[in-house]
Amino acid sequence: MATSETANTFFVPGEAIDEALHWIDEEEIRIGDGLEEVGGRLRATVAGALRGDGRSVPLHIQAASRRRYTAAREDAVVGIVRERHADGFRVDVGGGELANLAALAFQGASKRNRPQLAIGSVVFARVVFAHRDMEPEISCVEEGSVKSWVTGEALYGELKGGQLIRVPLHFARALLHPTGTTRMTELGREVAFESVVGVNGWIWIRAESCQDTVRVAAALSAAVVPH
Amino acid sequence: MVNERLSRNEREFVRSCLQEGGLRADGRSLDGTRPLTVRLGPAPGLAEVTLGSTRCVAQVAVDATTPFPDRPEEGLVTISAQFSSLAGEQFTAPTWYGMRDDELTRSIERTMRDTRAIESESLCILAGKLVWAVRISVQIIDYDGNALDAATAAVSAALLHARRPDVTISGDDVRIHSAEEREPVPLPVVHTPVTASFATFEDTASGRIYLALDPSLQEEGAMDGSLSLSANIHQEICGIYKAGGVPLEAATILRCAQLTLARAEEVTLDIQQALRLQPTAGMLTLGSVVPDTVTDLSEPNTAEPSPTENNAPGPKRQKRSVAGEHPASSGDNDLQPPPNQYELATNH
Repeated sequence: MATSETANTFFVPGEAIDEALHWIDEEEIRIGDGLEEVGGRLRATVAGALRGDGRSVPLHIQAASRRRYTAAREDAVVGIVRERHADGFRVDVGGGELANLAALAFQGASKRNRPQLAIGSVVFARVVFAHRDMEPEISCVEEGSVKSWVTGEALYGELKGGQLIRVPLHFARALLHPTGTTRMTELGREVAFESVVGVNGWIWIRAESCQDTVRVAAALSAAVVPH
Repeated sequence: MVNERLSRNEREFVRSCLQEGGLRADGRSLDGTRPLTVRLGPAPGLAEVTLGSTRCVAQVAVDATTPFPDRPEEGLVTISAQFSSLAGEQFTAPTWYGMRDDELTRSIERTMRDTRAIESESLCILAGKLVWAVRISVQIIDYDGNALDAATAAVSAALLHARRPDVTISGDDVRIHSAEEREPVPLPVVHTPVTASFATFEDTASGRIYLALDPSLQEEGAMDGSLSLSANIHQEICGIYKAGGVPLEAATILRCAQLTLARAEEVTLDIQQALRLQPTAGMLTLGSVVPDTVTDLSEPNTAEPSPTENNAPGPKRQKRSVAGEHPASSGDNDLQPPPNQYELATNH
């Protein structure tokens, strides 16, 4: 939390946050979401309040409830296949652009042995390349894993059946945080289910019965609170 | 009825839920509807209806114009509906955009105009010379299924909230009064149609047919067909529209008709309640209001916001009730004087 009472803590995109940094003595400040160095000054890239102390909690902008996802490397996202091409797929991850998923970018895949995802199928993948001026690239390969996509034991890959819900980005991030994970486990004691939370705000849920899936989906949707 | 935004999983989930025992993806019963809210004003004839997450805005404008030569004593009622790009990403693609707009416009026309919700003859000012033209424009600004039901509720509310200038006719001489001279009068709304739309599903394996009232976006993406009925609070069914090839038995349609009648009563009462709480602001009840305190929605937002925006009455207003029509405003009524939106016809 910004400790100075008088410093402005709310910023609009493009606004420099220098004044708010006066109370930070450090040489090295850790920067997170929503901040970028432009022209030698640290500027906000989204509208919101400045949070964090630059040390244990990186300085970041806590943006208002957003649903439009901006791809960033190493993000784990849930996507929907929109197009199929010879060399791969184009996947909707809820951002401004479709992401590219190479045909062989699956655990243990080869030319003869690779998933033939249908249009409209749901995948869980990792962002391997993202730049604001280019289409993002995703992959279903987990580094260091030897599991094959065929068995369905691989971490990334197609998600079959189940239901998909869409939540604001901050809520998805909160669910991936330890506190959120605890809540999900508690929910799991009430109703057994499996889920994949995408950083892009799309959550895939599957339980034994449709009834249970509906209950979990309703519980999660109801838990969404605007930022 | 494929919705490009949905995944196959979501579409299949809707059907699996139904097969599991008439369950719906959002937990509702098959005849359950989402919460409906009605917000009116500040301009006369402006209504916003939310039905779950679907949000629709309707605006009614009234101008004087010449009638059609073959209908010299009838006013004009035109409806134009549109899915705004705000409503969802699928509404920015040219192919879908046009088709759905036309479909929705046509459906609302059927419900409102073909059932003569507004009496066209009562819109006549001077036969063969001058009539009122009522222009209804509808925008879906957020979409989660069932645009039609939200739109008809919004249009019905907007028509009841709208006002037209008062006129004095002596012989062939027509004098249209400005809002400052004479209080604008309501439109001749004969009845308030309300629609109830159902998504229809045919399970080819078992042969079972399912109907879900007030479909969500996900259900619309999975459905095989749809059925819409319109009715009013006087227990009259005013329209029925069935799309898609799902076969329905007469008994099923009758059951839907009953649900529609119940829905019509519910929604009409909601609209009437909204009209009571948010009545159309009249110029005279607010005393002499100087233009700089009027929020003119047609002009770009200039300088500082009007003092009335925070729900507090502006300092210059005096409240006078005219023939007991408009109740004294309480602190939480958003009584802003309407902008002068009427195009006044000059002496004809």
